Amino acid sequence: MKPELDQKLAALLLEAQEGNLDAYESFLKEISGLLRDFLSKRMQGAESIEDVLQESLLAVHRARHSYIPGRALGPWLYTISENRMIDFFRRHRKIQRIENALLQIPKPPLVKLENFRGERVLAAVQKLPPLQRKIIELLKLSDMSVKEVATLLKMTESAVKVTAFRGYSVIRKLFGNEQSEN
Amino acid sequence: MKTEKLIHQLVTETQPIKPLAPPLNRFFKWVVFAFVYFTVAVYFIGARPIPIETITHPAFLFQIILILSLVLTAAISVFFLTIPNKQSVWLFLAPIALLMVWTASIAIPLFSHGDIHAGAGLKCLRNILIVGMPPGVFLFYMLRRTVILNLRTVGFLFILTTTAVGCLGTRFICRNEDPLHFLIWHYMPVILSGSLGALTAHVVLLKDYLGPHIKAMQSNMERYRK
Repeated sequence: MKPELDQKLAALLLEAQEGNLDAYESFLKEISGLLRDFLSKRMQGAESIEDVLQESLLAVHRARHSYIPGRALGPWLYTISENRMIDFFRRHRKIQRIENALLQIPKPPLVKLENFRGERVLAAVQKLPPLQRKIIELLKLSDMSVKEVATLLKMTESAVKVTAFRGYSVIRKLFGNEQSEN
Repeated sequence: MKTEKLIHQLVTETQPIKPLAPPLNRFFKWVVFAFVYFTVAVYFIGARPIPIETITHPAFLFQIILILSLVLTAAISVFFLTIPNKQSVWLFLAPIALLMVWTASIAIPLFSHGDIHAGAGLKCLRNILIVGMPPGVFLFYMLRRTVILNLRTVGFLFILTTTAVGCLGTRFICRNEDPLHFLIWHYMPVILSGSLGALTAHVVLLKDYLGPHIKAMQSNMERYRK
């Protein structure tokens, strides 16, 4: 970061620390451009970049009191963003591990659904994120217990319950939307 | 959610905020507190009578200076590492180097002394706790608004600082000068609790301490993404 830009951003942040909303808005807009460039050089996939950028902005917002006047702003800013990026990669690796484990699980036998509503439920399950879908399939179609699913996916029982609950809520919402559309 | 919308949300919820004091200022504040408490605690527990020959003995002086340097470098590292910045690797290496010198200075006499006995040391453990705990609590309090990016390192150095203060105190209290006693009852608690600090930093520093801070941030993210 050029020294002039660094000084300009530092001045905006100092004003923002005092509660100047306009200065804070300008600061966030300026740094979002800088951080987008910073992240796109290090990451692939536009969607992930935007996610990490938003997390970085939130982290900057939460840590804005930790900028010490008189110091260079660039290292402070990029350290926060880099940390968010590392955190993102860690989470991503964890999700990939779970997804790889899911791929090794044999597909549950398809349940013959005798009515149209059942097919719609199944279609709604297919629309869920992979982990929620797998857990609901294992619980409801393969008839496994929460404990068995937790062991299989190396998750805690409460995590399985929470994920399943989120899945059910999404399905309920999907049905709600359909009903309201009808 | 669009980034512009997020920026707008952040701007609308922002309030004036007091910036964190520079790390050196906070470090000196802590040193003053730790020094005053240290003096009072050692006085009340009962400082041993130290003969002038012992105080002026290079080995004793070396140990005191070494532990004191360890306390100060570990504490200063904690204050600097809890500010987001490009950190010098010396912030971590300096306390580790001192720790290694200290380890060597404790291990070498073990081989040169013929007859060594660990002796009883529960009182030393108690004294380490009494002398070290309040400066540790104050240090923990001073870290409440900081941004801890490297939890394990900070956790290790934080506990190292605290227990090293306690260990320094016991040098003025404990009458047992046996190197094995020093190794087991003065040095090992520092190392073991420091390691424990590194292992539990994710629980202590993140969940209980910074947890609400980070959880609030994550829930904000969820809210904004919807």
